[in-house]
Amino acid sequence: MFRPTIRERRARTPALQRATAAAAALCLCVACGFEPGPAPLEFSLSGATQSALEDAPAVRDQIARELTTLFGTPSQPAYAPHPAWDAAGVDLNQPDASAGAPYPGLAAAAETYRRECLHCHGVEGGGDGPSAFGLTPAPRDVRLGIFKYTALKDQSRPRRADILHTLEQGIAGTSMPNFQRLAPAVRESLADYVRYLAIRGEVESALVLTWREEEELSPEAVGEALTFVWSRWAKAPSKLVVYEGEVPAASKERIARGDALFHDPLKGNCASCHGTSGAGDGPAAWKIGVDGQREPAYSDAWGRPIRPRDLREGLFHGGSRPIDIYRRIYAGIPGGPMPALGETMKDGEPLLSSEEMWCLVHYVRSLSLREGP
Amino acid sequence: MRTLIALLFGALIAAVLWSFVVAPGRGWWMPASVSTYGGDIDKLFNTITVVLAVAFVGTIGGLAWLVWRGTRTTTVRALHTHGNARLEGAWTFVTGGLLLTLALMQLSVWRAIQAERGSGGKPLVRVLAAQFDWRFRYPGVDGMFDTADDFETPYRLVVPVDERVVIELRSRDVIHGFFVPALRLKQDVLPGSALTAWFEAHTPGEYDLICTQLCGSGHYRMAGKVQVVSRADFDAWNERMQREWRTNGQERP
Repeated sequence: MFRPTIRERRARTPALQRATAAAAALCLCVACGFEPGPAPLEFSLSGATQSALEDAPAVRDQIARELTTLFGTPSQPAYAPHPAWDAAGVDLNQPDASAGAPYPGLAAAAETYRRECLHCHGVEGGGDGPSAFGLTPAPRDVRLGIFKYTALKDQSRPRRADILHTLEQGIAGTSMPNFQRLAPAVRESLADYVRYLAIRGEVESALVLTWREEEELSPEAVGEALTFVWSRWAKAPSKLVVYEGEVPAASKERIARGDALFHDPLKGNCASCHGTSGAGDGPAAWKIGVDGQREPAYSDAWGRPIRPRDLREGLFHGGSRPIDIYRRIYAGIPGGPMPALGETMKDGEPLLSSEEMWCLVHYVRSLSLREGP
Repeated sequence: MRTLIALLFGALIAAVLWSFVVAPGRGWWMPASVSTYGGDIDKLFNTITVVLAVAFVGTIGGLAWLVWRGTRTTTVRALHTHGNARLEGAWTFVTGGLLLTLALMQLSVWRAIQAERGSGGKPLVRVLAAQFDWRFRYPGVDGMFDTADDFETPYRLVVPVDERVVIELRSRDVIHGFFVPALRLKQDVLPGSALTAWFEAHTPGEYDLICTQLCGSGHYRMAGKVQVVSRADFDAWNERMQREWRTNGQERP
């Protein structure tokens, strides 16, 4: 019977261990698809596009090609020359940066986006990054071009200042943090890259729509889609909601009047969704589902159930300054059921005066403050 | 072979000591203290480090000696012993005495910091921690929290220099750790509690604020700044923030 001596065993083991370790490491690398350094990113078509064009792979490829021509790739993002950009009077590939700061440019912004934003917002800005799973609320899918928290009315596309504001402040009560640790010029370029992703996404769905209507995609139609999408962005600066004069103070009288307006079905009618106590449990916002459970009655533009804000928490996604709440009441929230009361007319008269909206603002804010009703 | 193992232990000691010697020059050490009680905490920290260094060198050195001495080839039969009350007693009392001394040494510093936590006056600011952001709520003109003129700002905690600053710490979701290394201040932030902490910074500047409780996937980026400014600058900043809070929306183009 052969038994290895201790010396023999000792001599054999390290080589065996080394080989095993090397094999295990190799398996691990292959299994995880590990490669040194990041692989170049590529834009994919959205899920909506893919399912809409399931039976038309040729069109799918054409739209992917057109988008690459118009917008480049994540490693070389650039707007192709187009009359729409000239009409804007700015070079979108080299926008004005704040005075003195060197503007990083879209390609550098794409790299910043990859590092800071992609893991939640995804390569195309679809809100489908690897860390997005389970986040409530879900990260914004910017490809619809809808931004909820801006200073603008008429469901406008945002200005750079609006996206910058979100980058500076974050969105309290969500997983969106602030990005003040990035230099202002870097944040500006990031805001421009977000706009780039949004425009690219909007053009993508516009092309799908065009093909469905005309059953072909001519170069003219592509140009028209681009011009149409950009026209909505170009209008943004004229849509700013401001209040002429000093913001009225939060007096007891205003809070009491806001209380009445909040609950008045013919005026603010806020309680119908936000509930009598502002807890977000108003009857209009909820329904009984097929399983007998209470569920939100409305869905947002992204197809997710949406619930009214619990105003008692004092966590306002669009900011908690009086002007922020004023803008929410005045212009509504794009993509959701919150209406634009500032633009609502009744019998040829505005439903609410500015003074009445300020009363609502102060009442809503008081729900999370100690002077509450 | 046994010499090699003993030398490896020696190398370990040398590497650890070397890292302590070069650490300050390479920015591996704590930043310079800017807090009034930072000096006391540093003194304690250094004392404990020295005690631990001696214990570490002694233990590892002893281990190295035992490896070298105990594994030599010998024909003498091994000696069987069972316990040594005198040695164990000495070991227990020396270690216990050392720990007791350290405990007594830190008592006065701990008391000076902790005892004044509640009595340090009204909080200047409320720190709101949430995954994965620091927000700071200031009480506005009336000096009272939860009133209409409170204002909130993320990322940057601005405080006046040479004044005792009391902060109130709250968390919205999980446990976070409020740590400002330059102030030598570290306080856990617990959901459901409003804890207070205080500090007095003696040098104006901008200092890092980090979260020291693993609070989730974005923990690594939960950072902020503490900006220490003169009283005049603080008042000017406070005034500006309050004005910005009441803006009618026209300040931005």
